[in-house]
Amino acid sequence: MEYSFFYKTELPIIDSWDHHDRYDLFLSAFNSSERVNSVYLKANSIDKYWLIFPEYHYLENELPNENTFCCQGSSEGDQILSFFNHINLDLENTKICIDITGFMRPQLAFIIKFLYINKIKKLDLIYSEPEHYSSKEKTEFSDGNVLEIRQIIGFEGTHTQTTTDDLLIIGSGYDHNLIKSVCNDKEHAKIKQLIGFPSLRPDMYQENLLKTGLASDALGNDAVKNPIFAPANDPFITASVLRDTIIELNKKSSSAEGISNLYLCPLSTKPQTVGFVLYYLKELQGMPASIIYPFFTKYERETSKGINKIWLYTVEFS
Amino acid sequence: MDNSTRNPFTIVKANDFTDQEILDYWVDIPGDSGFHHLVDPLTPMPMIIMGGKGSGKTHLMRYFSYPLQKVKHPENILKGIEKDKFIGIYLKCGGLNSGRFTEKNIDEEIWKNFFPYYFDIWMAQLILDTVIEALSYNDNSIDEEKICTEILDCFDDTLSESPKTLLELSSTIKQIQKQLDMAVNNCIFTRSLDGVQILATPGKLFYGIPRVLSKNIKEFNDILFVYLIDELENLHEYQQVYIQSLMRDIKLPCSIKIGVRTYGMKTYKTMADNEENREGSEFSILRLDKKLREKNRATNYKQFAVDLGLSRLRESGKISDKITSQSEFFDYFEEEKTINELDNIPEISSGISGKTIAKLKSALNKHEQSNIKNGVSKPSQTTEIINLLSFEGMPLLEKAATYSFYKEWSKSKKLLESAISINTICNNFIADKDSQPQFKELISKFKSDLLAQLRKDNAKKDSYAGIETLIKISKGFPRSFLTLLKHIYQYSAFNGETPFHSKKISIKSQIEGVKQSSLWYFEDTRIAGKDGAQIKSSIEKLAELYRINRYSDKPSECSLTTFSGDLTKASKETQRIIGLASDWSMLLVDPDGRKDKNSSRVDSKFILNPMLSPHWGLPISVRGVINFNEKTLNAIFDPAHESDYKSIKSEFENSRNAPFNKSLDVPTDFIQGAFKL
Repeated sequence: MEYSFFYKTELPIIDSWDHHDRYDLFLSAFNSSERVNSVYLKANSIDKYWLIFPEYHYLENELPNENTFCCQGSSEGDQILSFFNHINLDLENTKICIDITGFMRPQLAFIIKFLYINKIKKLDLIYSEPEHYSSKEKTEFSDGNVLEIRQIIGFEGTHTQTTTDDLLIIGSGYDHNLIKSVCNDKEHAKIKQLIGFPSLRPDMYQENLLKTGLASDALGNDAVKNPIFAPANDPFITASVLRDTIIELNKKSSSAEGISNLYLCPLSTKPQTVGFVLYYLKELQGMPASIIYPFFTKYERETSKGINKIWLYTVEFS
Repeated sequence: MDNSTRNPFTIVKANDFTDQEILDYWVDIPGDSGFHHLVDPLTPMPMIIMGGKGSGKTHLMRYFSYPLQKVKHPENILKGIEKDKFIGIYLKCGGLNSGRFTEKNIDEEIWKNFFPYYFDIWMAQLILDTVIEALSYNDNSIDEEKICTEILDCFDDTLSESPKTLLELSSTIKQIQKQLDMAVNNCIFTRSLDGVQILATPGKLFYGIPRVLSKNIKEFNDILFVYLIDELENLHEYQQVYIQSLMRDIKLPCSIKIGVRTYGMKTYKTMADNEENREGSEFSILRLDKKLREKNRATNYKQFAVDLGLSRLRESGKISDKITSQSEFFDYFEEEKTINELDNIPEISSGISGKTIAKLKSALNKHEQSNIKNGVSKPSQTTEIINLLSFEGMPLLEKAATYSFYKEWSKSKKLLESAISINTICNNFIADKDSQPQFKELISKFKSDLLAQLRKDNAKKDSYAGIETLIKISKGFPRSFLTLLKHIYQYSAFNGETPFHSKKISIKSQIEGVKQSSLWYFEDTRIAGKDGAQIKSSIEKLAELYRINRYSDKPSECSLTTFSGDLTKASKETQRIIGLASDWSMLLVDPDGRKDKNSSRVDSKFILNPMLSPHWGLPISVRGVINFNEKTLNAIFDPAHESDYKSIKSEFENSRNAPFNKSLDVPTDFIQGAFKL
């Protein structure tokens, strides 16, 4: 799979997007960030929906007045399906754009998988980079109380009994406690750390290293000293780096079968999460590979200030 | 990195070891009852190997697994298995990714029927792959077709394929697993598992395959197939019910050993009308860390820990093979010099200009008003008290003298008279220690706390050094011990020392390593969900109270890291959180409990895991015990009663610090047990 066929373009922060494609459906996950609300207003689409996820714990009177859909169910699968069951579209012939900025990672992964298996030909994804995170490296993105670590629905793979060459690739984000909990959950696996570099903003790379340093014991020497890098804002290069890394590690593996089980865990930026998802959908389905995630009860509603850049990622599935 | 700088303790988890390393780093507990005896791989009775994180379960279970048998018997594995009289089939439950067999709009009952089948299919591949590997070293011919036919008979229905070799059979079963995986992965969309055909009754493959192999392969005729099922905590409760059912219906030639963290045992129920398996009847339990902590095994654990350290040093080439004794290992660690009561202590001030007396002076001046009733009304009297309790050049004695004085103050005794009396006792003690047995005992009991106070007052670090201390801190957890050595080594190398070479590892490096390890333990034992947050918050409160006691003017209990209490009177939530904190090894249960002073009741007794103590500057040795009433227990452990904690903490502080304000309704258990002069 050649991910460089996919393309990303920058959208204007101030100017209108009216000259861009008009979509049939635009989806965004509602939260209080300026960048999420700004993109929603600018998106050029016949229908627009705010998806309301229970993990943000919004009260009814805090929600936008119209075009909201409260996703039902306790799992990412149920929540996304509740929306699509509600709107009942011919997905194959619908032009869809999703602002991934406010999405939680499991929901984001599942919605892409759902559209993929429903044979959507082309999917546009928008991501707005923050000017900075509200409390720099101390920004909390969740309440940190991990309920369980499990596979994201739809990314469960078919695993093998041999565990001697299991590999965990973590896309490291700011939340070192999440990194630790995932490493501890798959403590038998070798660990590779994927770090966003270049980062969204130069100082964010340093902030990221400061935070992941706090998880260094759990990550282990090799993961800390020999990370892999992919641009924080590029899902396609991320997918490509993941693929190349796996090929390389399979070659180096001591066993003839190579990596026994592969676990991917995207804790970094949303564009990198998309990279993990694309790589999985294109190359890992039906393999002993899954995407895992530390699920927690509450996400912060606003973690950033300002908009630095807005990206449009176009994924061709056909 | 060259050999001289490589940290031999970097790997602390068995999971990070290769099979060869598991063997190379294997250390047995000394004495007749080694691990082989404890695990007893030849007993058909199922066994649960239970222990806290880092107690050595995985290392132990892998040691008895087939891959290790292969390393142990490189010449002929089949002969080796025959000699061992067992073959170990090792499974990590984490590999099942059991979370996917829940919810997804599938009825719980359907999952309950599905999981046993999936588990049996999984295990069937594991055992077949193990046996295929072992038989690849076999020269004798085996009738594989016959074996396949008999194994296929274990299925309730005919399979679409008819494998003739074990390899083909394994491949066929792999295909079944793939189909099951696809059905599970897609059921979120299909909303059913209707397409799945369950082809075997639960347990038929699990017990049937070993029976067929045992019957048809000469080398396996008289061996036991030992299923080593590790990380059971990763299975959901209903999934554990199936494992319990397998244990209940154990059939020769099989045996089961379960590895599980203490908190991870979710049920003993079986599928047979929810009947529970009972210890001694359906299974035995090896409580690993508890076993290593048993009082009569203390010497064994010490030897075991030292052997662990020596084995790492030997394997890394840092020491010669000849070094085997404890004393040689002890020599690598600089020890604190024993401080006697009359010694001067470098960098610790004493006398009128010292911190101890300055603090006392400040307390006397600050509470001038309340001291009037204690007979101190003039500044000259304060000066006299100060002079009487100052012992220049003897900071520990001076600290003990002021401690005694604070005790008298707390009892509202006349302060000047008390100071005169204490001064006499101290001077007699200086002349002849044995002439003042009570004062001598006081210093002996509170020495650790008094020295900790002196260090804190003089901005010195708490002292956690010497191998005996490190062994005490690890308290039956080999991983904790190795983690301590790992961090100490790192700090030692960082501080420019050459650890385990020519010079001793400095006290400074040891203290830094211990502190780092303690922080790691607290952070690493993060427990999922709300319970995790509550346990963490409770342990922080408990440690805060212990710390207040240790560094107060008048600690009521010496070396306090233990509490007791009548849990039956506490709230259900308190009982639950204490139970969880014990299961997660944040608290260690003292099996002897503590007898209540006023009744024949034996209260539960809990020790803060010594790995956590350095994080809060608390003692390692376990001595004093504080009895908490239900109000205090609930304030610490039950979020519904958290609002009481602030006042309890305040009372706790006030009852231990001058002017010892008792008007705040101090619970009686807070002022008990003080040593009487």
